[in-house]
Amino acid sequence: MTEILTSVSLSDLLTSLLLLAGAFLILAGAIGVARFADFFSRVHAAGVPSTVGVATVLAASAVYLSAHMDQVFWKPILAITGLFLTVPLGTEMLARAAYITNVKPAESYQRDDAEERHAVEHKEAVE
Amino acid sequence: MWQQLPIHILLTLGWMALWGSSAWWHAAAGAVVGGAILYALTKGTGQPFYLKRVAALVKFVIVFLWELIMAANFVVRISTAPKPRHRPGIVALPLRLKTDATITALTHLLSLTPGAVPIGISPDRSEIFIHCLDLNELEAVRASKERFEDLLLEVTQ
Repeated sequence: MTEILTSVSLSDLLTSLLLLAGAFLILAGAIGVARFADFFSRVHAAGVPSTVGVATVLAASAVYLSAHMDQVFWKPILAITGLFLTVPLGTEMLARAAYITNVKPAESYQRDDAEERHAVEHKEAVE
Repeated sequence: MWQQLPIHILLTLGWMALWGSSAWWHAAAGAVVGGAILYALTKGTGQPFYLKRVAALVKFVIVFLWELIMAANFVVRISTAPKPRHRPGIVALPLRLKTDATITALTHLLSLTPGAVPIGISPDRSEIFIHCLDLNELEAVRASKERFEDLLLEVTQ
């Protein structure tokens, strides 16, 4: 038992924890996408957990490679930056496009300020 | 404001040259001494001290990472709840930011906060429309929006 414990290095432990956390987040996001009722809710479930989850997995690869190559490995950090710059924009544009093209929610909203103020002009619904 | 950065670097290099050493502790001491000199100079000329802006930026990143963890936690909680009982809706919140760049940054940050995806701003830029996953959590969305707005104002003005 003690042999097993001492043979696991701190960096390997950290790598495993990050991998597990990332995998869990991506799984939770996938469950959300499968279970939520309409497009707008699914966009929420697809955006945040996949960004954070993939970033966590990339961080795990950075830790692992840095520990095994005896130098700090920066490329995953670059990938994480790219991820954080693009995914939120995609999420927002998807939701906006859906709202403008009049995609209907599963049940009508109890509160819709944008509709009330005629701020967003609806296009004809795309069949 | 940002022209203070090269001056700071020059002061640090000058300090290291005086000691004739490139050791990191001399660089660190030089940075501290250079910062003190710059701070005294900005007091004299009334310019804002650039390190204050840097501190605001660091605080910004920390708050952002914290919000991100809360966002992941929130979505995991809602998507694995035995009976989904969230009430989605679209709310309009007042917008204090005025420039294109800061509004873009705010919408970008908001789509990473718990249960909020911005879908547009009003034509006169006085309100931002946000799709909330759960209207019961509206206060949390409002609080994050206020916090990000404060930080963006602090960093840019």
